Amino acid sequence: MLITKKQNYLKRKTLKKTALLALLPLLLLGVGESSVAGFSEPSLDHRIVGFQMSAYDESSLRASGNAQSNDRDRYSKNISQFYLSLPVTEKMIVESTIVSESISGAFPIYIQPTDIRLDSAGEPINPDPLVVMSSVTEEDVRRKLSTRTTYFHDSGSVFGSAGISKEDDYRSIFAEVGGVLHFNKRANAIDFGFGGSSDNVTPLAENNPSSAASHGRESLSAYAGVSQIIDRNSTVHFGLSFTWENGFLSDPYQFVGSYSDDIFIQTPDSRPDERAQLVWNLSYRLFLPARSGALHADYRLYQDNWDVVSHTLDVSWNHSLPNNWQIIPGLRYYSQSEADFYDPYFLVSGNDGLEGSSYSSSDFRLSPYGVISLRFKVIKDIENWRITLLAENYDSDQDLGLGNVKTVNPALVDFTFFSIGVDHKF
Amino acid sequence: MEIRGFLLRCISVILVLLTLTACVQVKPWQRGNLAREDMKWNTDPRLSILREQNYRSTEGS
Repeated sequence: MLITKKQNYLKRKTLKKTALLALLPLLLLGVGESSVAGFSEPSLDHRIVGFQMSAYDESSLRASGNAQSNDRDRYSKNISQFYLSLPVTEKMIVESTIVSESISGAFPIYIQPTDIRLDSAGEPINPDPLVVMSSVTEEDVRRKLSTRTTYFHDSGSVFGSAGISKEDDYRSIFAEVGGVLHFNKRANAIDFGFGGSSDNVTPLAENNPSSAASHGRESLSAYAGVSQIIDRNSTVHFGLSFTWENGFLSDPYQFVGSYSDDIFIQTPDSRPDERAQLVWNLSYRLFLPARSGALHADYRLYQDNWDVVSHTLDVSWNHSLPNNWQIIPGLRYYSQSEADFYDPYFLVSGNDGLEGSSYSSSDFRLSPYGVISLRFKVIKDIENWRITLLAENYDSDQDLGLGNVKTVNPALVDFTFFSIGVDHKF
Repeated sequence: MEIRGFLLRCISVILVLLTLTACVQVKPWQRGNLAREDMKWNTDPRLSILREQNYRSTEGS
C-alpha cells in the first residue's frame, strides 16, 4: 500500500515536472504574448517579410439614387504594402511598413432637392435629395512610410513608432509611444499609449477653385486598457481612448446647399475647429476545443462633442482546419447618429443653416445610418510561408441605423474590398 | 442623449467588473489555449489597419 502511494506520488510529480518542462519554452516566451499580453505585440522568434496587394472599390451611385454628374463612378483604390520585421537584439524588434496607394474616382460635392424651386409655403417642390458629384475624376497616389521599435522586458514591452503619409493635397506626420505591463502572475495586463499627428491639407485647385489655401490640423490621443483571463479558454479586454483634434476639420471639397432669398446656393462645408472623441472598447475571446476554433467579439462605443454617437459590433469565428488551413468568417455591424450641424441641405442660407450654430455640413459621413459588412478570410501556412486572402462586402443604409432618419443622404457608400498577402518567416 | 450615454458607460463598466469578479485562477501551464495565435486580440494587425482605413474614409467616427 505504501509502495502504491509512493508510486502515485512519484508519478504525479513526474507528470507535473514533464508538463512544466514541456511548457518551459512557452513560459520563457511569456505565455499570453497573445491574448494576455495586450494588442499586437510582434514576435522575437523570427524575421518576417511580407507583401500585400489590396483593391477597394466603391459602388457607383445607385441607379435609383438621384445623381447629377458626368460620372457616377466613385472612388477605387489599389493598395500595395511591403512589411519587414527584424529582431535586432534578443529583446528588441524593429518593424517597417511601406504603403503605396493609387486613388481614382469622382466624389460627392453637395446635396440638393430634386427640384430646387420652392412652393408657396417656402418648401422645395420635390424635396427628395439628389447628389451632385464632382465633374473631375481625382487621380492621386498616397505613400506612407512607418516604423515601430518594440523592446521586451520581464514584465511586458514598450514601443515607439513614427511615420509620414503624403498625397498631392495632404501630408501627415505621426508618432506614438506605449507599452504593455503584465501583473498578477500574468493573469492581467495593462496596455497604454500616447500619440499625436500633425496634418496639412492643400486643396487641389482643379477640385476646389474657390479655396486653394493650405490648412493645418493637429491631433493628440491617449489610450489605456486592461485584459483579464477569465478561465483557461477565455479572456476579456476593456479599453478606453481619448482623441482631441484641433485645426481645419472641414472638407475642402464639399459644399452645403441652402436657400438664400428663394435661390439655391452652395457655401463651403464648415465644421468646428475642435473635436473631442471618446471611445470605449470591450473585447472577448473564447476558444472552443471541441470546435477547433476561437470566437472573437468586439464592441466599440464612440462619442464626440459634435454629437455623433456610434456603436460597432464585430464578431468573427477563427476556425482551424487540417493541413494548416484557417477559415475566418466575420460580421461587422455599425450604426451612427448625425452630427449636430448636419443636414442634407438647408432651407435657410449657408452658415445660418442651423439655429445657434455657425457650422453646417452635408457630408454623408456625418449623417445617420447603419452598416452591415460581411467578410471571409482564408489563411494557408506552407512551411515558412503564409498566404492570406480576404474578401469583404460593405453595405450602408439609413434603415440599418439605430435611430430615426428624417431625410436620407443619397451619397451613402457601399464598397467591396479584396486583399491577398504573402508572408515569409526566416 | 446624455442620459443614454451615461447609461451605456455604466453598463460597460458593470460588464467589465462582473467579468473580472467571475474569473478563476488559471495556472501558467493551463494557458496553452490562451496562447494560441487565433486567440490574439488582433490576429492580423496589418490587414486590420487597411480595413480600419476603409471604415475611416466612409464613416464619421
